[in-house]
Formats: sequence, structure tokens, C-alpha cells
Amino acid sequence: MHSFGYRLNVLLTFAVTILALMCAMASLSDNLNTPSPSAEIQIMNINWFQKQPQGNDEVSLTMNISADLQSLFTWNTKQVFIFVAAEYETPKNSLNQVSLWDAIIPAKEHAKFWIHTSNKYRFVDQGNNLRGKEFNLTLHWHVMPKTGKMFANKIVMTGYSLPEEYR
Amino acid sequence: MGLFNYILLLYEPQRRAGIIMLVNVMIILVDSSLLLTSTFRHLSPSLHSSRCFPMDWQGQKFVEQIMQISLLVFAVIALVAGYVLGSFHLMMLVYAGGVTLTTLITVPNWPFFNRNPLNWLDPNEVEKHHKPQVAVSLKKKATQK
Repeated sequence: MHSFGYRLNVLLTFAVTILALMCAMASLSDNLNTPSPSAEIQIMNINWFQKQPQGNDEVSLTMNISADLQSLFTWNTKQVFIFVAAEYETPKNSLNQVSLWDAIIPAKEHAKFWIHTSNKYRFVDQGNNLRGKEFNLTLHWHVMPKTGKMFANKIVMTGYSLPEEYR
Repeated sequence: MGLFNYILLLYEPQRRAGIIMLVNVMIILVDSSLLLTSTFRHLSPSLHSSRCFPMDWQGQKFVEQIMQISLLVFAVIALVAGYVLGSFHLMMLVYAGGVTLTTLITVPNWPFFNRNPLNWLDPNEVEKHHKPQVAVSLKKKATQK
């Protein structure tokens, strides 16, 4: 503590160390939050259902996605990334997950929403197994913090199926 | 300065303006505090000046305590305020304010940290008094016996 420069160095180092501890505490406080999100997806229409030249099935859907994810937001949340995935089983793969749509929710105000949209990403199978296929639609979310640990979870919605014949 | 400008370009224009303002405010505060300590010293009748007499031991110990306690207290206040009001931004602002205040109080060489100065012996005085002789003769007599 004998000179100006030395005191400044000590102060800045200690301040930054304490800042790191504060950010760790802020991240730990996220565990105190118990989220209770809800979501519902309806398939309004199967637009078309074709077999591609390469031999893979492809579907185009129109979905109505409504969700209330406001309880996921805390003071330490920067944004929430959500995506909808179709999950089904084929003889070749025990689990197929195809991402159909995603979005970034930047603030709590935008977390309660509904959207009527066709699938943002192509629903293509590895093969031609989709005729009459039953699948689940899961809404996944990743809560991205300002500092610290990211939490991820999902809601599984069952009972969807594709038509028996190509359209 | 070039490096600082390069780093500045990584931020969007609004942030850039805020950062420049913050840096200028800090420069002004530190320079003015340095100026205040030196002018205050000229006003006091003693021979002290912050260059010749850095902080004394008592002052250094005091400053270390103030620094640690103050930073911890501001950190706790910032954390609690941010959590209760649900604003991460508020926590950062309160803590930044606390760090700046602590810097102003503890880093410059204020006169009240130099109340117990060490009085070094003047060189002229040294010549007047002989160094005490080492008692070698006494020891030799003791071992011989």
C-alpha cells in the first residue's frame, strides 16, 4: 500500500474478484426460481407430403403454436431460445428428432404468445418411413443467463400422426 | 490510445458513447483528486509532500481495511438491490459507483492517512553522534574463562 499505483492495482484486482463472486451468486439465485411453463401445438394442415427424388420423405405442415413461458424469466435471464422438434421412431433409427421451428424470446413481455406458421425448417426423413407415422412434438427451451449456468428443459406433446398416403 | 479505439469499435455506437463518457469521468476524478492532495499539502505548514512522504504505516493499514470493507459492503448492497428490484443492470451500476467511490477515498495520498509520519534522522545529526561500538572485547573475555 506504499504507492498510488500499488493501491490502484490492489483495489482493481479485489474489485474484479468480488465482481466474479457476485456473478456466481447471481447465477446460483436462478435455482430459487421454480418455472411453470405451458404450451400447446395444433397441426392446422398438412400442406404437402411427397417423396423426394433422392428417396426421402418430406412433409410441410402448418402449425399453431401457443405458449406461456413467462415463469422461465429471472433477473439474470438474457433471452430464452425455444424450438419445436418432431420425434418419431423408424426401423433404422430408434429416435429421430427433426427441428421444425425456433425463435428467440428476448424479454418476459414476449414470452406469452401464439403463432400460426408453417415449418421454418424442412421436415425430411432418412428414408421413406413417414406414411402413417405417429410422432411427438416437443417444445424445447434454453434459458440463457446474463452470467452463469444455462438451463434447458422441454414439454412433450403426443398424439400427432401423418397421413397414410402421399399428397 | 490506438488500442483503446480499436477495442471501442467492438461495441455499438450507443455503448461507445457511454464508455467514452465513463472513461473521461474517471480521468477527471482521478486527476482532480491527485491535484487536491498536492494543493492541500502546500497549504499545510509542515514539510510533507506526497512525493517525498508516501503514506505512513498506520495509514496504509487503515487504507487496506477501508478498501476491503468498502468493496465488500458495496458488493452486498448491489447484489441485494439487484435481486430485490429484479434488475441486473442496477446491480452493475451500484457496484461500479461503489468501486469509483472507494477509489477516490483510498487510492490518492490524502493527508489524513499521513498523521503518524516516520521521523527519519537528518543526515547532519548522524555525524554528531558516534555509532555504538560492538562489545567484542567482553565476549572474548567470557569464552576464555
